[in-house]
Amino acid sequence: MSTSAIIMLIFAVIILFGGLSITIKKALDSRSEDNN
Amino acid sequence: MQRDQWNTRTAFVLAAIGSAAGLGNAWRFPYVVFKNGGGAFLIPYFVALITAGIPLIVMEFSLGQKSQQGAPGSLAKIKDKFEFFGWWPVISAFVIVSYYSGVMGWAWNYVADAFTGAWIGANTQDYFYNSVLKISSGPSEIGGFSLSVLIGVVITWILIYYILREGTESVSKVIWFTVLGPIVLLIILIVRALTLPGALTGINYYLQPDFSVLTNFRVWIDAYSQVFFTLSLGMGIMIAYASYMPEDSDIVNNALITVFANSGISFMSGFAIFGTLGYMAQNQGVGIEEVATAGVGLAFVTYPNAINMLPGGPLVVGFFGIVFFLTLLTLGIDSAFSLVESNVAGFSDKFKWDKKKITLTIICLLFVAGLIFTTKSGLYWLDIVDHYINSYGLIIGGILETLAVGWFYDPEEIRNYFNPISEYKFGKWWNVMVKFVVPIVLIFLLIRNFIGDIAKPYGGYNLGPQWIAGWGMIIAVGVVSYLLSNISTVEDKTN
Repeated sequence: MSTSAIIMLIFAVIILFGGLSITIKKALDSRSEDNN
Repeated sequence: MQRDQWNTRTAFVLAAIGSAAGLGNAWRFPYVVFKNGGGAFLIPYFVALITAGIPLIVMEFSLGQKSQQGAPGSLAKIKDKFEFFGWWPVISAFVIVSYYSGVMGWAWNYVADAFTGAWIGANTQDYFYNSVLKISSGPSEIGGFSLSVLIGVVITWILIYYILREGTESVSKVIWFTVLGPIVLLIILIVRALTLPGALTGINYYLQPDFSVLTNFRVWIDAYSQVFFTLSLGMGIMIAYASYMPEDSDIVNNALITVFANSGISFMSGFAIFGTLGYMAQNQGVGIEEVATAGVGLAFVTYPNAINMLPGGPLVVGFFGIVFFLTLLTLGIDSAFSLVESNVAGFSDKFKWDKKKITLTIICLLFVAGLIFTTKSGLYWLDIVDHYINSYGLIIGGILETLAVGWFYDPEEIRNYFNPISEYKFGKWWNVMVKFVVPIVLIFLLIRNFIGDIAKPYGGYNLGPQWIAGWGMIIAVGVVSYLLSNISTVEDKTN
């Protein structure tokens, strides 16, 4: 794979799966706050 | 009458992801990326997500959650006359699911015939057109039913009824399998694809960026179009699903999880598709561009053909064939039942009929309406209806919704509703997107499609089928929506 393709791969992974992780974590945190 | 409610927030988010992630994620997104500058396309795609996809899904979630009504009821709460704006997306959803079930019927045939070996090692083009579809010479030669497709469609409708029979309660149980299942199956396909010779060449074609496309207006329009279609917007689904949430549930975070998960599934699908196509191209000694395709041709001819070339003999080929078509079926089933639910919510809110009976009635109507797609000419009719409902039905639905909220209601009111109950707050930019950017983009898409179809009738079909299943169908969507919005219920009269 070319370097530019790998850079785009990393770019997409950070945005999509980074964004997903942050938003899911936020939802889980608010759920545990509700339980407390 | 007590309204249905999701038993957990997770159930709602999973159902929304399941609805958004459908067949298009697997068979459209990777090809659109490949055709529009590879990895460089991700830049307009993310811009479109932020400026149109996220604002629109937040708007639909807000409409449903605030009004506790499906699309017609939620739009009618803005202004009585706008009930029509809410029926349009619901009736468009009715049309879509009537043929979507036909596509799932084809997929059932491939799963069953992976066991019998009918398409294993065979010419997949011949198998699809002659064994499954038994295709006729054109749309005007109906040619009777293709029994195997009809059986597949019946299985699909029985499953959809089974899933929807108890409303959100039964859906909440099934979505764990139908949303997480295809992700697991996709991972299996990706691992297999990436360990094949030539796979990295395929992935390179998928992601190799050509930044010169960023100055191409068409690429940006394709990005907005892809974002609009991938999130199940303009069909009343997200409004209906959100209407089963408590009024104080976090809207923005739910929307962001749905968007990221849906796009993540699309992105992952590209590795399974292009990894396998890379192997296939190397095997045949041709370039990727010669085997890369999208839609029905990719799913039912090219990809099964690539599976046929996998090393390991018929058992391995059969196994990966089943995995691939189960991925399509599990991706498709929750999109299909969400389209039905959009109708169920609309009708049960308006007429206050028993939800279980409404579900059964709508499914029976859909089965009858979709019979044309199970005939030997079904593929032609499906192709025409699919083109017109996507090019006009959904886009008009999106325009009506954004005009209602952005221009005849105050978007600030909606923002003032979702911001206090959401952990992430949106600024006034959201109002600008809903009022200007989204409707302008959608109106542009509508005009572009119209000019294209006037200049060159779609697919080279005769005017008769184009008028019946194309323009005629769009007019019918409008007439039915108008009639439904003008029926007075007992409740309306007492008010």
